[in-house]
Amino acid sequence: MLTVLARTRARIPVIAAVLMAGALTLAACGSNSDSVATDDTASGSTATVMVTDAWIRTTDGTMTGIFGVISNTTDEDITINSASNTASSMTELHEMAMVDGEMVMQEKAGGVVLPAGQQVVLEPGADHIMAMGLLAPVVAGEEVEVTLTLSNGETVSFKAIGKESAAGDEDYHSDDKSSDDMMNHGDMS
Amino acid sequence: MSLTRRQLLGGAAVGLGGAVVGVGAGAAVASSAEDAPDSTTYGQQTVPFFGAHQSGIQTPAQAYAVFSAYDLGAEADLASVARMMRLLSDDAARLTQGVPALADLDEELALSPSRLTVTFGFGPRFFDIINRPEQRPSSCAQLPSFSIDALQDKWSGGDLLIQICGDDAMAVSHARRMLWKDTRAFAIKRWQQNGFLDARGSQQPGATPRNLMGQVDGTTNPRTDDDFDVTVWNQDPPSWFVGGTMLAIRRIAMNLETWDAVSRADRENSIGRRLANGSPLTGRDEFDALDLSAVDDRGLPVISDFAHVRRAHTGPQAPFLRRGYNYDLGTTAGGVTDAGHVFTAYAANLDTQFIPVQQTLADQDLLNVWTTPIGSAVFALPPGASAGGWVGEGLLG
Repeated sequence: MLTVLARTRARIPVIAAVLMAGALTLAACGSNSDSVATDDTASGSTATVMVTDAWIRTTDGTMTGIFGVISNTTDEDITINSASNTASSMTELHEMAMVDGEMVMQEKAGGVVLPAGQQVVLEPGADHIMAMGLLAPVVAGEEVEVTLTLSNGETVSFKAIGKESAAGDEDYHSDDKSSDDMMNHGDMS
Repeated sequence: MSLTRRQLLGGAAVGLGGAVVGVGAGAAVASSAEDAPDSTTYGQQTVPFFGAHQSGIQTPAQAYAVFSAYDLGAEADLASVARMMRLLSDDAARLTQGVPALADLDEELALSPSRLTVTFGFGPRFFDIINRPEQRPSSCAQLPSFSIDALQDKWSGGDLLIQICGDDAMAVSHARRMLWKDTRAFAIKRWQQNGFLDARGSQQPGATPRNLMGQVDGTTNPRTDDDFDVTVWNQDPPSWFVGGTMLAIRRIAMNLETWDAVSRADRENSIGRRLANGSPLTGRDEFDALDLSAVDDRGLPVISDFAHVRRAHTGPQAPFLRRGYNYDLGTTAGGVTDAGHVFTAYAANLDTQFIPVQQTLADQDLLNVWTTPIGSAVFALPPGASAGGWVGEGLLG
């Protein structure tokens, strides 16, 4: 079922991304459309990688996903080699992949490639950033700072806002359901 | 009331002529349903979210409204409420512009906003929860009880109001659910009141709407920017509340079965206006001034002493904005229509602008025969957010 969630729209030309970003400058939380490239030059070149619409799924567990829209504004492919964040002790780049006929979440070997001039959407059921070993529950509306280390040597930092979402939870829910059912049967017997 | 309704309907014979004229005028404008509509662009119309005032107040009333009240959880505090308002403002800023909310799983439902507006309000207890009672606007308190009230808890009170209005019930529904998903971490639902007016385009733009008793309702509303500055937008301390307004929202049940039994003339006398066009019984056009001293050829007042317009009258313009919506929950098991009006009064100060009028009407108003307030709540609606900011930032930031 999770394959359904892997969107075909994951790569959108940046021209569309810019239009979309224009619409979203209206958004109230400036913090979740922040993007900072550290190597801006005095010649006025723009940020090479922009992150918009970043959010982190709320949880009181030990790990959670970080999502957003990442735009590569250059004419060369760039790879996200690694990531870190202020909410957890460890951060991995994850993908959903078919392994032995089952869709599983696993670390993405070689990092997340951002094709030249394209936009990559990190979202539930697709590539995403995994915060592991959370130091505290992630609560709704909280801001978590995330830093990406890129293959061109730059780092990009942005803030992800805590947001409750059941997206991609269907497997967990069906597990919950079956255990509930079993307990109910136990009560009835 | 000790007088009978018949006694109260003193100068009865006046309204009939107006009614007959109205039937003819209404029939003339109908056109064939086969005619192609001019366009289908209403869906793309948007109302700005950011600005000095929240939208959804001075915005010409849209066709649909959902008013949702929530109670904040026991663990709520200043920090958590601020987080909530940032999230909700972000959702509203996007959805009202036809952009899916962050993590919106039904993004296609966001693409036709149809003048969607989202308006937030804080109930009296809100200021205790954030431990800033001194910041509570002076009239942010539950209304005094009135003799006509039959209030039900399930339609009353609340810490947080989310008012969602739009011309398309689909966009309103989507916004309601998206906002609820970002509210539920902080609060639980207390009540929800859905309402409707005429469909967009079925009346001339700006036409005063009707309630389910058929009355033109809202003729004397403030209309211009100057009117709103005087009547609606607060200018007084606390400073965070400058540009905001107070809202009293009251659920008014209508007994449409007994209203059915009332003659057209008596209906018009009960309010003091003609049903056909909302004109006062002493005038011809809707916006004609009331002549409260006019008497008929028998010396009886043309506008009854107990007519709604006389009792409510404080001057040429109402001292608050009415922007109410009709509700209809169908027929009860007992065969009674469960319908009425989600009455709203927006005013800079409810104590001085609304409560005196409500008290006068509670004391005596012919409409009380058929209407019963069954819900009541009061909220302080903060000023609007500036671009990049969020609603309530001046209080919570």
